Amino acid sequence: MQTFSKLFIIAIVMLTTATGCETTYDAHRTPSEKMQKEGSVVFVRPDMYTILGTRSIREYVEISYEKLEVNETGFPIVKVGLRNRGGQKWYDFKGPDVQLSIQTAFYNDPIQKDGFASGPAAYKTNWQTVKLVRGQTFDYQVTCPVVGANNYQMTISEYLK
Amino acid sequence: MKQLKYILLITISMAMVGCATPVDTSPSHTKVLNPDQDDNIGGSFIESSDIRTIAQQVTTELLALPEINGGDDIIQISTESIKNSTRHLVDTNLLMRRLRLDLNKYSSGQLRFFAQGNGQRARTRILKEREQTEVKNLIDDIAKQIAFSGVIQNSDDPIKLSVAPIANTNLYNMNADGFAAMLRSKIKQHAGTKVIFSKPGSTTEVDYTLTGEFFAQSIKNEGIVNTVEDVKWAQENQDKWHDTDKEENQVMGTQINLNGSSRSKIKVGPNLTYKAIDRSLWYSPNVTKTFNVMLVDNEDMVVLEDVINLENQIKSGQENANFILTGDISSLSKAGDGKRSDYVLIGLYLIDPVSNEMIWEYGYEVKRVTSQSVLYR
Repeated sequence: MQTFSKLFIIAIVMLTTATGCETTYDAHRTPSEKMQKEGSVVFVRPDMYTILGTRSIREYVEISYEKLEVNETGFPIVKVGLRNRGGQKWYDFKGPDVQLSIQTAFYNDPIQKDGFASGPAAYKTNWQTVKLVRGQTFDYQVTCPVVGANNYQMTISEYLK
Repeated sequence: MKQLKYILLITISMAMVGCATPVDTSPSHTKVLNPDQDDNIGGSFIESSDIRTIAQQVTTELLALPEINGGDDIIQISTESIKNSTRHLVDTNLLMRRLRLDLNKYSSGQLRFFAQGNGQRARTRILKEREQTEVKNLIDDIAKQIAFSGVIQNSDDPIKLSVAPIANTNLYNMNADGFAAMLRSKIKQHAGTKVIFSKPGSTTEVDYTLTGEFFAQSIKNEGIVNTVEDVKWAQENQDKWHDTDKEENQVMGTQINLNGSSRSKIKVGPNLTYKAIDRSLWYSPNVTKTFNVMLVDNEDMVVLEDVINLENQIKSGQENANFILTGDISSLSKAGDGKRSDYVLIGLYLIDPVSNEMIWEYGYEVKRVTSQSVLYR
């Protein structure tokens, strides 16, 4: 038993030491099933959770419409209606004015069947600021100067700071 | 049982080592920001995110314009500085540069901008050097034309030629005599024994005189300050070093004055006065300088004539511009109770240079209030 314990300890020490000495680690892959489920307009996960709800912009902002058009030049145009619906919870009927940062990425090809993105974005806008006062619907529109990049994902975040 | 405790203790310890936080290699005093991020410093004017948003929106709007996207022709655009009418001192070229970056990137070569101010010294140097090579060839061509002309080739006896000083029409202090000397040498080289040149300045009777005229393709008088001539003048006119105007102890010169005024006060030589008067005379004027070569007979009749450009005007290329891109920044600023606010309107226009019509206009507006005023640079 004593010999077994010693050997066991040595084995564990060697194993853990060996793991710590590895030069590289495999990076996490985006789960394909999650990618497939992701919509074309997504909100960034809230940065704070409280006992009474989250500080998520999804609590206050809703999408009133979403359209993809192609103009005469062939440039894809995404039009999204963003509405600040105000507070909807019993503890917050009012809700704040919301300041958003929005980035839209355009892709030449849709998300692949295995769930991975088709490659880098053909065009990506900067993070554009949108101010939504309570009750306002903002007609957000973004055009991509790359013909044929008709697949997109719009990421909406709290104001970047 | 005791051994099991040791085993667990060692295992947990090693596992904790494995979970250790990696070494923090980030700079100690600086944080890298995304250009769209708020730096949280304050200020109520435009931010880098505004400039990037404008560039994004303007690029897609401009590239979708039928005037730009309507054909296969390359569209050339001249830019002009964005006028800043706000209380903030900012470099408005930043917006134009960011805009140009996106337009060049996504227009696939369909748009071309002019290098206005950038790389111009190197460009001038390159063009001048190319021109010097070209001028030698041009002089050689004219020399051949004269040497193999009927005037010289049909004569049984060698033709006697003299070289008269080259006249300056509206170019002062420019010297075309050097080119005349080069031409003379080339003519002799090609014509051989068919021509005989008299000594420069000789009054010997000759059959023809090689002369010409040096002029600027300009509607006004052009010239340059020539320090060598000033020194020469000063050496040759030592008596004029002394005062003719007792009060100011300066010499009055009677030299050519390009701006049309009469006498000018000089201390050393005539051209120093030009230098003081007209800054444009500090450098060789950027005009096409033409040399009109003439072969004149004894009756002062021109029997042969040709024209070469010894120096060409270095143009910006903007005469071919299809459009002008410019704009302005205006603001409505308020201050009170320790706070400041700015409503900023940024306008950009595309102008047709011929009709002067604004064929496209873009506007971007933003309003910010801050309790932390900052200095923009």
